[in-house]
Amino acid sequence: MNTKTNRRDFLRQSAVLTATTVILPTLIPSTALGMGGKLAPSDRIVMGAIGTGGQGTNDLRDFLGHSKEIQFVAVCDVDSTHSAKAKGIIDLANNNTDCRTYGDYREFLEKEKIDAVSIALPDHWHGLIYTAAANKKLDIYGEKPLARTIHDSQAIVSAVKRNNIVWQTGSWQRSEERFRRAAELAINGRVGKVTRVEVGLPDGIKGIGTPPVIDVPAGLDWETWLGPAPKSPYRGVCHSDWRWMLDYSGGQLTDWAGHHIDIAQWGLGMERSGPVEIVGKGTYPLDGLYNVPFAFDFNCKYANGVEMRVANASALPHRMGVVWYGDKGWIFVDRNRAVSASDPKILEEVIGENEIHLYKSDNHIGNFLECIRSRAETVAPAEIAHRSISVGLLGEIAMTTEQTIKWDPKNEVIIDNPAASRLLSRPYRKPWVELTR
Amino acid sequence: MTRKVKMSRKVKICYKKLILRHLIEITLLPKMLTTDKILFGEIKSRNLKVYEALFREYYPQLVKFSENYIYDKQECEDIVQNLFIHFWENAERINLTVSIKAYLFESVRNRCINHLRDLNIHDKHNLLYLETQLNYENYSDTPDPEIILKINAAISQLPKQMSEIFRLKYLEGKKLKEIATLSQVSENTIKTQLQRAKDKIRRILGKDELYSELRGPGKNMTILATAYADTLMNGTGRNEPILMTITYGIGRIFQTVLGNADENGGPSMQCVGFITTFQRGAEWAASGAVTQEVPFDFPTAVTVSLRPNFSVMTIEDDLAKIAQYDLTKSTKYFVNLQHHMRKEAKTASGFKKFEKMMLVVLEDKAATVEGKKLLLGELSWMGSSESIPVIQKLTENSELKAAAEAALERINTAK
Repeated sequence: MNTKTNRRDFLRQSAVLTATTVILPTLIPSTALGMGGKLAPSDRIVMGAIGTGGQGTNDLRDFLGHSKEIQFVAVCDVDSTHSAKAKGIIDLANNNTDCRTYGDYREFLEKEKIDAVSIALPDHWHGLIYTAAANKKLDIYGEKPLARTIHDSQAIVSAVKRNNIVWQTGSWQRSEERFRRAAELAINGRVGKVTRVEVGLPDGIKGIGTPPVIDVPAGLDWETWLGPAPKSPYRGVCHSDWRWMLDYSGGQLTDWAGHHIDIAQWGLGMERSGPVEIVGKGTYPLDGLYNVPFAFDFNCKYANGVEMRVANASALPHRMGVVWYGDKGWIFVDRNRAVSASDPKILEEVIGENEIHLYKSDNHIGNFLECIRSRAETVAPAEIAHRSISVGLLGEIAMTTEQTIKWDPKNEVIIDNPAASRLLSRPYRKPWVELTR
Repeated sequence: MTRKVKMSRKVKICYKKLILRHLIEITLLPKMLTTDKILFGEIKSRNLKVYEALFREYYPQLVKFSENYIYDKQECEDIVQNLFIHFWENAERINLTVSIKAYLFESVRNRCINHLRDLNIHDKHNLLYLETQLNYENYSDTPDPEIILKINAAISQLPKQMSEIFRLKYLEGKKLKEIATLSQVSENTIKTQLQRAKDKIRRILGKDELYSELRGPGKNMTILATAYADTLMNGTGRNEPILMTITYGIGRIFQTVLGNADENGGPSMQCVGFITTFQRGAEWAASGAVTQEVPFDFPTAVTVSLRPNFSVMTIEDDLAKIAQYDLTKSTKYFVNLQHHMRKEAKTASGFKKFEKMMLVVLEDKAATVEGKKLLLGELSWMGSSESIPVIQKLTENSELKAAAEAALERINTAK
């Protein structure tokens, strides 16, 4: 623990140095920092990865694009084929065979002396592992959505605060110029007073029936993969397909809440608050293993009267993306289409010096590494990620109960509805014990 | 008032065969005979007695014939009366080349079709036209062979004497007196026997019903399908419209007379014919187009096709299925149950009632572990304190312990 604190202090000091001494680069040649412009090995951020499936591998590759500043030394996955593959990628980058592999995250956290960890897991595992890593005082790059339940999400936020770690959520849209620009125009009233937002998320899938129970493939620890989720026989539906089952995820809705709902609340200035009333309806597959709604449509009211409609793309005129409607026009943003507005002039508007300037990051991983050194808040801190997924999860509760859910965003409780309140958490299967705030 | 008539199942018509027969009939249209020439000559010379005789002979037949096209008796009588007036007043100018009977029937048909056209009713597949050919005795005395097959099968199940009398009357067309002579019984006995035979055959052929004599202006209507209301089953002897579309301004209406739920849970709504036409009709009314394909199990002229599972499931039905649930079974009943629950959840009393029904299954010793697990998951969030003792008991069952404890834990966390 002591060595870690020292390393962190050193990193912080070096960040202060570079920030205050402008002429430093000319006095100290970059070679002095390490070979080929790299930081000396002792100064690089030592990292590990938990969860090295599809998104975990994507994140790993993104991190390795910053290999001057970081060094991966270990990976952990319940599927040994995943960890072996990740080790291969890391060893190639490190030009050695030293990357260690683990199957149990508790052993990984106990044995590895690292500074930061990149975590990409199915949602039902987020609560336990994010809090465990935070309690080890590791800085965390964690995939969105923040958690499977609001209860877990709250526990993660307090663990991050309590341990004073740097947290970056994988909501990378926040580090894209187009999203920041659109949200900045909305929040500065370039479409007038915003009264309504539409958030279009992808359509879900209708299901695959119920595949037969089969043998668990070699290398996969199915029991641990299930973890706190209810015990269930293996039907060949696991990696990447978990998205369509309520025990592990809320479907496209919760997957994308961390993207488009996140951006929508950014532009509303609601990123650290939430709606007060949620009502809506979901359409669920008629049979089979997949049971998340493939179509969803719910409406959120904020205390200031603004309304946000969240629905699957087919239900909305703009399909995917975020549209802020103000009394003077609208502005639209999505990943693959040009930012547009009711009047093209809106898009050329300059934001004045005394107006709201949103957090500027142009590289999501880079922003995380920068903040590890500076100890500053990242562009996608845990609290904001928590508020984004809360909207998605409250929508899920409104659809499950088909009742109007009254939410107190300050105290984060559902008002006068004990049954719906229980849906704020999911029971953990023993021996896993539910988190406390 | 719509009259409800019990009917034999109408068998699909082989249109090709009918069209062919129609063509043959046209080429063989009854030639003008000497008697026709004499009678027509009398009409032209204003012989009122001959005219009246013709009127009396053909009027009822023609009205009945026209009723195959137009479901308004008054209108049919007007059409036939107008034709007779025309026939009398314009006899000089009429160039008669066929028999008087053929002339009258053809004219009534044309007048009926013109009338329908004026009402903006389209006989989309010439159903009325073709079925009249088939069913009106003057134009087609051979019933559909499929009907004969079915009736024959039914007749063979009757007592010997009864079946013989029935055969003589309906298949050989003998008069009551002739049958009485042939079978050596009184006419009254024959009548009783025929009545009983009809009742029995009705039961054998299956309980089916057909709505006939539909009321209304019936304008702007396109008839898509008809069914013959067989007199054998006390029907009207007409082709009754079964499926039709009606336009109302820019609106589209699809109407089906099928789908009346049987009192004893019979299969009428399970019929693939009903399901398919209803779905396609509904799609058309909603979108103006039909994209759904006709399914492979659509009934044919000789097959009945049912989907026995196609019924509205009640909460009780779903719970009964869930009580038998194991991991190899479909989860659709559980999904259905959740759907019911969302509806019930709108009121506190509905919610309570729902909870009680689920608890009955949890207490049922015969219900499966997997079924109970599904219900425990639901009760974990929607269950009240009433659920606690029942769930508590389930913790003693080693297979259900984990799920029951998880449910209790969640119920107790309610703030």
